[in-house]
Amino acid sequence: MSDDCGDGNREVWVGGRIGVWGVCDTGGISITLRNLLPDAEVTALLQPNDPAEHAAWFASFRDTQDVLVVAASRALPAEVIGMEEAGFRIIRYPVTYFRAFHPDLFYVGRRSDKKLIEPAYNSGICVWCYVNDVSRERAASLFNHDTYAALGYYDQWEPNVATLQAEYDKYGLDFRAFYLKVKRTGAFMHSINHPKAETLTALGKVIARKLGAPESVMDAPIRIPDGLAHLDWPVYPEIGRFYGVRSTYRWTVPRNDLPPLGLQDFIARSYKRYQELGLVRSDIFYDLASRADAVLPSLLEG
Amino acid sequence: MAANPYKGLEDYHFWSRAVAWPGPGQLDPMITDHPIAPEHKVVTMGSCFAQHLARNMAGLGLRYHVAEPPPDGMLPAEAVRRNYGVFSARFGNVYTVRQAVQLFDRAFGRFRAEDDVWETAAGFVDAFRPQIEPAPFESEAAVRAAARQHLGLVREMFEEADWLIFTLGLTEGWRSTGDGAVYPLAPGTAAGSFDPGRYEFVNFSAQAVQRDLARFVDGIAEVNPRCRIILTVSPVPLVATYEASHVLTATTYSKSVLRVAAEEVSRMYSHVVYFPSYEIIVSPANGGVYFDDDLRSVNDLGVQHVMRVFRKHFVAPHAALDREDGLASRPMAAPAVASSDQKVVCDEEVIEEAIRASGAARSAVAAAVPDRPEPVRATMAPALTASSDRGDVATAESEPAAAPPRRGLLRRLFG
Repeated sequence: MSDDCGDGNREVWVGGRIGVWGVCDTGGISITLRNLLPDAEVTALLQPNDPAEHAAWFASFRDTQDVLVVAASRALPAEVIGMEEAGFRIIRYPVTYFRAFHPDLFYVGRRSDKKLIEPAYNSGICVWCYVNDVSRERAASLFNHDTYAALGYYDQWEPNVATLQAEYDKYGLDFRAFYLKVKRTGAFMHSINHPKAETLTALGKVIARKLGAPESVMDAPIRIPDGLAHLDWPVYPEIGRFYGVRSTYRWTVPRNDLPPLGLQDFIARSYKRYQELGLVRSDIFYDLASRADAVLPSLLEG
Repeated sequence: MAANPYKGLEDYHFWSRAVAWPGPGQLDPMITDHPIAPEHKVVTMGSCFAQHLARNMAGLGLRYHVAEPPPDGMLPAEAVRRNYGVFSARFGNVYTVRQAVQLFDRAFGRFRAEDDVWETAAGFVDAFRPQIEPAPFESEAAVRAAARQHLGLVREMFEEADWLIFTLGLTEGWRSTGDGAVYPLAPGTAAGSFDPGRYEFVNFSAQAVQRDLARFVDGIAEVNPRCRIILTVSPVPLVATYEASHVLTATTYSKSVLRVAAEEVSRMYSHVVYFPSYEIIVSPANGGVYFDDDLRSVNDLGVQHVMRVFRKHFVAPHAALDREDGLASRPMAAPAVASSDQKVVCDEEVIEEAIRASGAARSAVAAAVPDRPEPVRATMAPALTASSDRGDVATAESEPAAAPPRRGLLRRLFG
């Protein structure tokens, strides 16, 4: 085969010891790299719980790893940066954060204790309604197209793509190869920050390419366990129709045998939890707040 | 050095930017706007995919004109059962362009078919809309009386419409060897009986379809010069072909001919515009998700995408794609219009049902029609060639590689 056909037939397999220190994506990326790089020894790195052990753990990289694949959100200490400057190879990758399929999902924090509430995943509409004394029934009535349009929920795709692309470019990863592959799978995120297995394999593949694997790895049929499926947030039907993907108003309840919750039950469960937490409007912060304040009152009146 | 003629063209000229890159559901192959005023009367006709467009017109805020409404006092369920509001008049599915020409000519007294009534075991049906009534008529005279009334309303529809949306569906059909009348169904499937001496199969050529379509447009312009026409091609594949061809290649032929005709005619007339329903549904950008598991029926996701693009360019020009969807769930403005959750009525499916009922469920539709005659191709054979790719530079496909050997998966991560 001539070189015109690309490098798909080249036997350039990457070897050596590769440590992966990511976030929730560590497992998926590690397994993908093991599949793609049979001559490499891929280790999913877990930071010790005891901070006193961190320095030794970082220092051990020099002797135990040839390459560190690290989530860009991880703060590397000076000694590791020093190792990198001395030739130790570090590949950074962006954490996959993508809101377009789940624009109503928000983290909510409390000013009083400067902590995020649990559960961490919240419906922005539901939170706003609770702290503004909107009944559960009226809250449910806001889950519709007009609300989503007013809140900008349909405007998330392009800015999220642009942000992710900028990060891939920053770390020298092939965004186009990643994006075009995951986009074909439909709703490629379980939630705003938990990718589906196919998305993790796509990320692992572009990392493998960065490590020197041939272009053919992009088409390798890899199946990995979907370890994040329990963190699934529904794609609302109106949003799903907009993107041509399957959708539902059914929330799964992680680590629980309960059946998925419908919209009414989800709101009731959320209100109950917010009541237990004593959430009040003046004490919470979440990204939707100002926009919700601007548009939701008039939608409720209408 | 010569200038690159593609340099500076809009994104929609390039596959990589206009098809590969947009998010799911965001493909928009329409590049011009043609606003339909709220007061304009919009009428629809065509194949069964046209029913999706029809049922969404009112939801778009458009004035969907039903020239043949249900009689006063008829209950909505009965109106649905009798196919009121499925289209702007009760002509049923108009699959071929020749059927459309014929309908127009019949409505204006320019053609009178010799064989217009078919007999069933229970009575008589209109050969040109054999499924329009749930029960057969008692006599041939009753069929013809109903047809006269219906055609009068069809005439009114053509005369009063401000916009006609015509969905082109098929090139295959069955016609009379006598006067050339074309029928929506093969005689012997829903009614009548097949006599190879009286009926023949026809698969219209590109030239014939284009000629028919231009004649149809000319005819409408003659009786209603203000009527603008939107042509679109149904993305629904053939349920079966009578050609000695694989149904997929027959489908490709049929859709290609219709697409070419729509393009040529829309270029010929300034008041005719092409709307790319076909492209939206079958585009590789969608990976086939807009088809049901039968790989034929277009699902709601696909219909909503089509309607979203339609709204952007015909209802809300210059608006961003920020409006949904949910159109099918909106209440219809006019009670004469078919409900959105009503099953699409496809005469074509009668072919399959006939096969099943015959107990001869084989792969060929020939089972539905006795004594298969030699197919007749109308006029010249199609000469479809792939147009040159005006997109950006193609990249070489890389050789797919086999998966590397699995080596202790999960061992390190999960012990």
